[in-house]
Amino acid sequence: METGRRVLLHVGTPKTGTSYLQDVLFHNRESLAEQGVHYFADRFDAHFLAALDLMDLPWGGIEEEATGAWDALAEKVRAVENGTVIISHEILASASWQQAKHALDSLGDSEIHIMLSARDLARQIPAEWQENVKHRSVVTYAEFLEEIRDPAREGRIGSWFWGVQELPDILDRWTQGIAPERVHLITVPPPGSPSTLLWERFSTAFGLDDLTIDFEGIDRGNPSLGVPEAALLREINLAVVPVLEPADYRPFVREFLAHRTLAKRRDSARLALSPSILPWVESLSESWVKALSGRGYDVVGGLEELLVPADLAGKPFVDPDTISSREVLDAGVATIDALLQEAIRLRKSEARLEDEVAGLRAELDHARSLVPKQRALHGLERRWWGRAILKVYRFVRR
Amino acid sequence: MPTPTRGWGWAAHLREGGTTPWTSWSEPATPFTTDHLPGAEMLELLRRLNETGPSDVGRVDALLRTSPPGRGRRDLPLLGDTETRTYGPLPVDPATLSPRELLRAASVRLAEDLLDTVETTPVPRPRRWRRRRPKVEPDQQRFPYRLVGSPWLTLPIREELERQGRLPGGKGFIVYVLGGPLDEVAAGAWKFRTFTNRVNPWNIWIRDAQWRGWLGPRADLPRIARWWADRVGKGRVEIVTDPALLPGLLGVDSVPGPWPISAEGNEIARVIGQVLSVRTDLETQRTLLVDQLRPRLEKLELLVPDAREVGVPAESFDWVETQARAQRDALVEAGYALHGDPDLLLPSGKATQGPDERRALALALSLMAGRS
Repeated sequence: METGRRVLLHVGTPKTGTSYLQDVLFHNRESLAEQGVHYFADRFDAHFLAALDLMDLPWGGIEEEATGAWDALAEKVRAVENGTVIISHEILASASWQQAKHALDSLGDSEIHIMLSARDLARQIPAEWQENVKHRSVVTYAEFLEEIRDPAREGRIGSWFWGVQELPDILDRWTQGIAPERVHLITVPPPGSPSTLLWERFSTAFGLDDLTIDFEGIDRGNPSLGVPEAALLREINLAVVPVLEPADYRPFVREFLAHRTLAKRRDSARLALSPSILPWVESLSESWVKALSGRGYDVVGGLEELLVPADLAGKPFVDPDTISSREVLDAGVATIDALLQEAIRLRKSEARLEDEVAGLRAELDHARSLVPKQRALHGLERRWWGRAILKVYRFVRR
Repeated sequence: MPTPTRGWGWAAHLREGGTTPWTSWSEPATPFTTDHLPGAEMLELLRRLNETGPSDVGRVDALLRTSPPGRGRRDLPLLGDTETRTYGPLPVDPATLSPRELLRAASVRLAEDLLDTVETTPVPRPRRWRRRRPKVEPDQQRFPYRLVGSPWLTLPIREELERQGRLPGGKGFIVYVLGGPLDEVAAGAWKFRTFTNRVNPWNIWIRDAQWRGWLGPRADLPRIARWWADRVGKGRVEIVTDPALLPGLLGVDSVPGPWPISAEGNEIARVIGQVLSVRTDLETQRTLLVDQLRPRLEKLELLVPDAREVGVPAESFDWVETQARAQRDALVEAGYALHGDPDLLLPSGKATQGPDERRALALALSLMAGRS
């Protein structure tokens, strides 16, 4: 017997605008709750931690903060009597059959809907290589393509890639006992579509259309890199990964260098699918669409959008493994420029903080020097002879 | 009514304690749970576990409800079963799965077995009175010490000395930096981390160390010595390269060696640690691995033959030797008092391999069977 609780469980896939959706939900969580939609998160990555916990997945040390996170989230969900609860993280796509079952069972007697956002493989494959490079990897594009083409999927890259990208398999794992009409497949619009269309699809699928949402200050999410920028980042990884701890890599390399510096360069060539694997990707995409059609899922967008775009074959391909040094150098110079600007900003900030510290020290010294005087004054004021001495002292000073 | 399949038939056979390999199995059966058919890894793991003896049904069911943790392929279909999907991981013959994959599959249950001990271990009652200051033994006054260096080598000695009431420190204590052949010290650094933190497999750890150009703080004796020299003065820091001299320096008859754990035991601690790192905090992880797992492993080591020592592989040996010469020269040039030949810091080359995956799996199966 289901309660009046509806759970929208968004399980992937990566690189489909999920960060933007999660950012909107996180920043609006209080007003959404007032409107009957709950996004339980006390920090922006709360559902990421829950996913790590659910899947026993170590993640560069972050997993230490994830202990018990899934069960805690599920408990909050079960406590909701009426309303909608949204859970969203793209790495949930890699959950095993047993882990997905455990997750579904843990949500109690909810009306569960499985949400999966998906994008065509022609864009997902290059995007996943970039994502690897943004996560400390030094794998070349060619090596990456070779790994994902290994049918045995024995390597780390191949097993992860298919775990989070193989749409029919993800849906099989996550829809155990869920009716097809409660499975919502949201396709990412093709290149050239209006920039708001993906959000409109999310909004429709998640039932957010009629709700009041504040978009002020929402980050557009996980930006992609150009080909020279990605090639440069890989070279940087070769130099820094051995010496930088993950906790330092995240803010300095991924956030500052990749997202805030290199992703801002929009004029360079965008990474595309290597022409050599185009026929294989076309055939695979067609087989997926065939497997998904007829299942009765609610498709927001269109299954045909998951096919490789017909005009891709004629487009130029710039290979990040063989790109000219000149182009990488340009990206390198832009990076040095950004680093210098940052160093200057930090130096100014340091000088300002030093001034503040000096001011505070002087105030502290002054306050300390007052302590004995204050004590003496209070001591004298408590006694009749003390008060007499103070009277004489003040008379003399006058 | 679900259709009977050969895969469910094999799963039911294994659940009842069967040991027939998949390729010899033909009987179909209907599913005995509403769960998805467990992956080939879990089923083959159960088959191997059954070969060691019968298991409790509750534990078997718990095993069948788990998946291999972390990254890597999993939930593999059985080759030749009624799999009709044209996508998903390729079906496999479970007998061909590598011991590494089966060990990974075992790690969740092994971690959960340890976590179960947390709930059953009684919480110590809070002390009503402050603990008395330990009585200072005469030897402590005569031989005040601090023993530092690779914790894999020093921790058992420090624990034994403390057990005897010989606490570190004391007036004018001498800091003994316990060294040894650098390949063994480096292996010790990795081995210690397998019980106390998250760490990569040995072959990747040593490859990354070479890439980084540094074996890390626990295998950098000049750095350790310098740290102490800056605090207590160089005259109170002494380097011990020959462990046989240590009892005399500490005023005891003998000192214990490292924990008798093989390379495979370390590998088991490492994979369990990966799961525990998500399931619990670091302090509990260390306590479970050191206080609960280690004694069980020590008992089992003797029952499973052909234990290996962790050693630096040939491709990294020259680099480690260069590092060792540099460390030896730095310690000699710094002028610390030396106990033993400084050339004892050079690699011994006694072991050249990492853990044997087959033996690691055999040890893990013995642990799961509760033979310790």
